[in-house]
Amino acid sequence: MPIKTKKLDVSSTFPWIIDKLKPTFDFTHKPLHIDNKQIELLYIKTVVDGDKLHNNVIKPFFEMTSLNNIEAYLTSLPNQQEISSKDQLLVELTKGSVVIGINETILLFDFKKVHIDAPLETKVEPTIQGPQYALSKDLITNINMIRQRYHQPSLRVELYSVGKKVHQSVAILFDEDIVKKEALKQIKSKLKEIDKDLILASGDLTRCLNNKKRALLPTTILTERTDRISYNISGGKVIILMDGDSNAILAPAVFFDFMVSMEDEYHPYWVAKFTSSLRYIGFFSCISLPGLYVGITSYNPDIFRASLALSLAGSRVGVPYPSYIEVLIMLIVMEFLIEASIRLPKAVSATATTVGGLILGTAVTEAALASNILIILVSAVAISMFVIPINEMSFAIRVSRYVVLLFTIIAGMTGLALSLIGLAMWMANKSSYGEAYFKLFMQRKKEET
Amino acid sequence: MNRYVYYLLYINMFASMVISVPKILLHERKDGAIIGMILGIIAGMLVIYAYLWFFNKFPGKDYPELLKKYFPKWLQFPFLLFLSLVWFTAGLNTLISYTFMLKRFLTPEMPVVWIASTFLIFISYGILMHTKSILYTIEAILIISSPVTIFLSTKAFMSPEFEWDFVREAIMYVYRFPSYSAFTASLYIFLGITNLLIFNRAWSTKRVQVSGKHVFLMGLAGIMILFTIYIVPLGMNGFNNIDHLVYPAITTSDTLRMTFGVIERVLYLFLLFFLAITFLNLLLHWHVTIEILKSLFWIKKFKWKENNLTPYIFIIIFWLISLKTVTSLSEYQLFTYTDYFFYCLPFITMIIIVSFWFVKRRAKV
Repeated sequence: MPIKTKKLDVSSTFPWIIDKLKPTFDFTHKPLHIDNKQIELLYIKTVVDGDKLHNNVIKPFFEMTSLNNIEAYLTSLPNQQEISSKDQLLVELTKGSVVIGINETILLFDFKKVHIDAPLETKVEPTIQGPQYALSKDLITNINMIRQRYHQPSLRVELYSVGKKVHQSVAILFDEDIVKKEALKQIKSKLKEIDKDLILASGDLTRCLNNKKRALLPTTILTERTDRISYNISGGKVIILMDGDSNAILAPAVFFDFMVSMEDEYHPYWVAKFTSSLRYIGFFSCISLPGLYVGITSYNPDIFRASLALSLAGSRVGVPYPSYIEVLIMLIVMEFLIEASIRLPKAVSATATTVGGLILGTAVTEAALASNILIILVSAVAISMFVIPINEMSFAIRVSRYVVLLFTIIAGMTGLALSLIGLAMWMANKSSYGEAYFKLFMQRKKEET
Repeated sequence: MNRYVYYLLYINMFASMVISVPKILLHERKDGAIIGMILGIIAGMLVIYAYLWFFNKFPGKDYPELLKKYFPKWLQFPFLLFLSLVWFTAGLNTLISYTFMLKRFLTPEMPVVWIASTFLIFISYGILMHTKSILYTIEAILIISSPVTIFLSTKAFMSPEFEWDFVREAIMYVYRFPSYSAFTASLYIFLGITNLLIFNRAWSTKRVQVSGKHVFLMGLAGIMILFTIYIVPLGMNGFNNIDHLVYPAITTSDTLRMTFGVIERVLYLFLLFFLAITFLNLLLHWHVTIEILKSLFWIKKFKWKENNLTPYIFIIIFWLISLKTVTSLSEYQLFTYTDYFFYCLPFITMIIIVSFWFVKRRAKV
């Protein structure tokens, strides 16, 4: 495909560019001159790979015989870019391109230098079996890694630019034959509509792509694993990659996608079924256990069998306040622990474990400020929150746990049952880019009723 | 066959296991309940066939829309209003019965208004959802609740307290004139399919299929549930004085014990899972009501930030009526009014089926 260049000529454009970029110290304007050949180079030296520039442009310039040869050589370089406007030239200069003025025509080449293109290790989503390398922070390397896993000619990549001040590149990948058309259309139109000045990372982009301004449940998955990405491409999803961030956005995502870990594909069938059901039990217990405690101790102790009911009531001997205050205090302290452990410097992490375990667990029971069974319950809740593979869903569950607790405090076991049904209703009412969020797919067909 | 159509039917069947049908049937056990049940089953299967046949002809359309196209305007408005009233009463009956049940068995100290409000809060969110979302919710919750229900019924049949002698005594009363209340109560079990009036909207691409096999399957499920409703309380509690029990189904579940389970009294398991099913039943009925009302009254100017507020007016009306009736009805009045409501149901169903025939003729399909 021949590169089209607009009719911009050197004499009007170059002074304009130099004028705009002159005050920066790293802007370089280099005229090259030998015998009767002359070209001019404009680039920002901190983002340009000097070695590549020297080897590909400067040395051949001095070795070739005539200016036409040089122009032919330069137009055949593979990293030449299209020029659409003067403003685009400026933006491309900041990204690491080199503007060459030769024979009154302007050519644009990509000599970007990247420091951050090494594939990282999986930190957020480790698995036992399966690849341990995650995406890197550079867009081109990421597309390379994904294409290496998905050798299919129908895999399309489209490039967009978001952020009015930052002009970050965003790439969309999808398999043209099996992608969900409705979702693709919505995502593309949303990307074009983004109006913000600054988009920081993939998480920010997710918020902009959402339909509603205030949402609790996530409708996209953020992942860093290449095998999950290729699994989802073959399922018809759209992948959104942002330059500078090693997380990819997978859209549309339904509820059951959040409970799937890549381990299910690498383990034998029954092992995978077992771990999968373990996750659902963990999900259910995380939401309902605090509410169950309040409902049973304060409203209906006679639900459980006689000896268990007596144990529950007996463990609360000496606790001076009603059960809901006890539950709220312990849950809030546990939330503090979890939130703080994200930010702990490595030097004090041991202290935090001691604080959490000894003081909160043992001492609180000894002081009769909480019952034994509640401590067990709260730690079970804390652990079962991390059974959910994708983090965004577990954060959403953390919040909805309090809503269920609130309804149980108000209305007892009725409130517990109804608020769980209410949560199911809310999830069923949500739709993620045209896909139903909470639909059970039991028929193995492409189009379900 | 579309499995969601079965769900519409099953929810009504399961919910009527506790609401009013057992009491009515057991009240008539000496006066022709069994023949009434058999007639009810036959009539129920005919009703199912009629509804499926009609909605097979009009995929993706709901009944108010069809009435508006093919009936004169002076007829459709009062008729649709009357239908919305019927569905509202069905839902209200379910709500009040279950509220009284919860007050009596689960939380006696909670005020009735509070229990009813808890239901109403979640219902108000639920009936405003899209039609398809309601179907997805029903599926998800039925998958969790129905194994428990089947387990409880099986446990009841195989428990040592179940005496088959009482069942044999009950079957001796076959040669009696069929009782109308038993007939209507057993017909009510099959009337879940009438929710297709609105829910047909959800299947615009795939038609509701009608064939003898589907009707037979649905009828078979109805027969089994009816059998369970009638036989289990009789076997557990005896034949002579079972009409002294106010809630035969729940008291029967209280006699069961899971000796090695975490929850020892089966009553609580029963109440909580049937709470879920009753809630879904209420959701179905009142969703139909509010959709019919929305097609009748739609005030275009009444908006706030692009959300039309007319459904909220209806919800406020529902709240007011429910809270007023919950506080002013006694249990005896509830039972008699439910009985009268069931008496009207066969006539209403007949009128709707006749209107189906008219609409089909006018549409020339």
